[in-house]
Amino acid sequence: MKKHILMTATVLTLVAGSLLAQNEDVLRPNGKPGDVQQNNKRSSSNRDKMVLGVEGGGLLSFFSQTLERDVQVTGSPEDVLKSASGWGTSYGLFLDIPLSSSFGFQFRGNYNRQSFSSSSTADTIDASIVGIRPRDRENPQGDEVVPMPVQTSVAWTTNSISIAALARIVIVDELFLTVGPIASIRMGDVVRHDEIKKIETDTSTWISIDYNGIAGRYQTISRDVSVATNVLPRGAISTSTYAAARFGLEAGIGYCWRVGPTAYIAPNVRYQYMFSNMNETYQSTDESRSILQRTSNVTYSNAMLNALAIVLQVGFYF
Amino acid sequence: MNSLRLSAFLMFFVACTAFAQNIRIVPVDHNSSNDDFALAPTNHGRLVYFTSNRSGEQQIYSMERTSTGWSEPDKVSGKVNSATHVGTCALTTDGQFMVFAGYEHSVDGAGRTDLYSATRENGKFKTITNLAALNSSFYDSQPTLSADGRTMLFVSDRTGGAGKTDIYLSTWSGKEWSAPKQVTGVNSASSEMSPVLASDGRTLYFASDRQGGKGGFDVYVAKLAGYDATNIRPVGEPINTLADELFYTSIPNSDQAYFTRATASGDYDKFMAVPNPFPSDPVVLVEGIVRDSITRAPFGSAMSITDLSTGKSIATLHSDDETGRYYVTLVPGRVYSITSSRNGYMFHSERYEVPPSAKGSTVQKDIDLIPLSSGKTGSLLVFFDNDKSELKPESMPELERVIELMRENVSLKVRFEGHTDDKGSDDYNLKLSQRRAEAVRDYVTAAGIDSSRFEASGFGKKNPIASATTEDARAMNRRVEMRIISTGK
Repeated sequence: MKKHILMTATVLTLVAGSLLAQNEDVLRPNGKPGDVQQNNKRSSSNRDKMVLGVEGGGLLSFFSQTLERDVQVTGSPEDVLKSASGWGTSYGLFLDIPLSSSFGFQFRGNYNRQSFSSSSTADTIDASIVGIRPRDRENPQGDEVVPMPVQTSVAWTTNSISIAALARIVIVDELFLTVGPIASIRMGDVVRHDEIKKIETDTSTWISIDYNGIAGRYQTISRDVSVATNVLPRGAISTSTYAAARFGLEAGIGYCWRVGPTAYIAPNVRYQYMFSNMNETYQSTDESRSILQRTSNVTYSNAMLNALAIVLQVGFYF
Repeated sequence: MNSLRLSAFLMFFVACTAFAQNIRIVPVDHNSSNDDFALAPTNHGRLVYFTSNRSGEQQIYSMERTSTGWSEPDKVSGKVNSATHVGTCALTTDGQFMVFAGYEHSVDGAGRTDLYSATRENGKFKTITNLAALNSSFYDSQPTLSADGRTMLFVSDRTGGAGKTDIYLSTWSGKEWSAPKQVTGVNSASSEMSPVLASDGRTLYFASDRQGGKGGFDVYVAKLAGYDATNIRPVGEPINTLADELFYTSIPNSDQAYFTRATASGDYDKFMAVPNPFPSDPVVLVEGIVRDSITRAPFGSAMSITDLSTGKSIATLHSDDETGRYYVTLVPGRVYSITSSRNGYMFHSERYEVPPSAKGSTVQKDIDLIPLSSGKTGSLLVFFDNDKSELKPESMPELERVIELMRENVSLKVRFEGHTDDKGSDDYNLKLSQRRAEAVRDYVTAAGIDSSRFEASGFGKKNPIASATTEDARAMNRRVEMRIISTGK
């Protein structure tokens, strides 16, 4: 509900600003007092011409999801899946169709490569030190279980095509805002690289299983996975495929610099807020602290991938 | 009730003041129920342009003064008016060059309201140009031009000003407009608007809503020298009132002034004040028709005015393509050359002395251009000291025109013919006139033009063009003429 109120207020503010910007005339720099003109016949400064352009720049991605546990466990490597961020690239084409000198529509298609990651060095898993306790019936190997610090890293890479239909509103001079819906269509798999690495160099403890379920004494385990799942090598009870398409709202601000009679460059900053989740809810059992703490059932939900785009547009009037 | 009394008192006071100064304020014809403002006269007041939003958007209109009054306003055709708002124009005296303000014009701009120029060609304003050197990303509007078209003042609310809108000045170098600077002395923390530079180039009218006025915008008058305005005074009642008054324009050599006033219905209308309480200094208005010397058909031609005392070109103008008419404003007490040129014709140059006594007069001076194909002669405006054959420096602009003509017409062959006055012997004058003709030929040949295209002959005192023996007549007879021998066609 709050999202809708915020969006409505934003659009109303932009439209009001656009109307107020129309008042100036050759006699009155600030317009006629009390007169808000409806200028339907706009024709000026190339603003009445259609524009075809290209753009390119950086895409700062923000990933977040909710991890809900039935019992709390501290220091679990699974917590690295709560949030991630990172830079990618975006290139695209756009078509700008003005309806007036201060309002128009911009249609844009982009190819995006998004990379975002998260890493934690404060994680811990329970590990055994073999044969240091007296052997008895309950501990025939004489093992000691101790907390072992590990570094956990996850890094996503995904390619997509995004299509946006935006309203472009000139606020003042060459400063403009864009706002409108955006759709992101996944191209190929989302690949997540997982890595858990033992931090301390002593050899008394180790990671005892790899991502293939093979027991051993590992300093580092890693994998690439193309479904949404937990990060620990065992314990997943469900996975989720990534959404093929997501939908959201984009709002941005840009400034137009004329570089000739038929061209301009326009730096843009815009935020893409996606209403669709990146993947559906899935679950796992977190056994990283099952001996010293407890086993926890984890539900992963609300996986969101939003982005801040910083691009340079080059437009050509025609 | 009190406000009624106050209004009645104010009206009575204004009426009394007007009567005391005997200044009549009358509306100019064809005001509409919308804004009609910024009346800009040209062609010595016979044609005016003004701004009106009678069609919904501010556009430029023109109307002519006829024997029966003002003609119906015509919206200026062509691309000038292709914008959301266009107006507050100013024109050179010849009516061939216009500067105006456009908000969201179809010709690309620098920001908000911008300054533009347009040139009249074949009866229409074309070549719309954004005056990028003057415009900012802020509001730039309300331009005014000096009579010679070489000084422009305008209003801007750009940063760095004294406050709100300020008046800026730029000068034309012959190639480009200088970076605009604030006019010192006029700008205040309030809004200064609607500068109008009178035909004398010194009297500046502007409007301001500064404290101490009658109310709203009032008209002020100042003396302008360079970028400095001094002796600033309000024009007073009955022109300034509680309402807005702007765009005060003095008609040259006349007791009339136009201005704009906000009316009770809330729109702006154009008015005339008679007599003008602050007229500009009288000038000499020169006008005429440029035409073919044989067919008498009028046509457009490039013209330039040079102050011979300084050698500086002071104005470039253009006679109208359709009517051949030209208009120029000159300052009395100086000597000028007026030159007119057109492709296919021998250029025409004429020395024109404007005596101080000519102040306030209008002079008719038609110019006949000789077709190159006619084989006729035209006088060259070259100068020699008495009894000498060395060219004086003030001859150089004319000789450069000869060089240009020869370069543009590569098959043209001409003969320079020297003539003297009636003083001295025939033999001496024959030799002197020959030397003078050869001096012209040698100068032109030195510019790299093939010497075979020139001949030089002296005729002594045999062919006077003025038969009298006065000094003026003798001066006219001491001359070098250029005769077309062959066009090569």
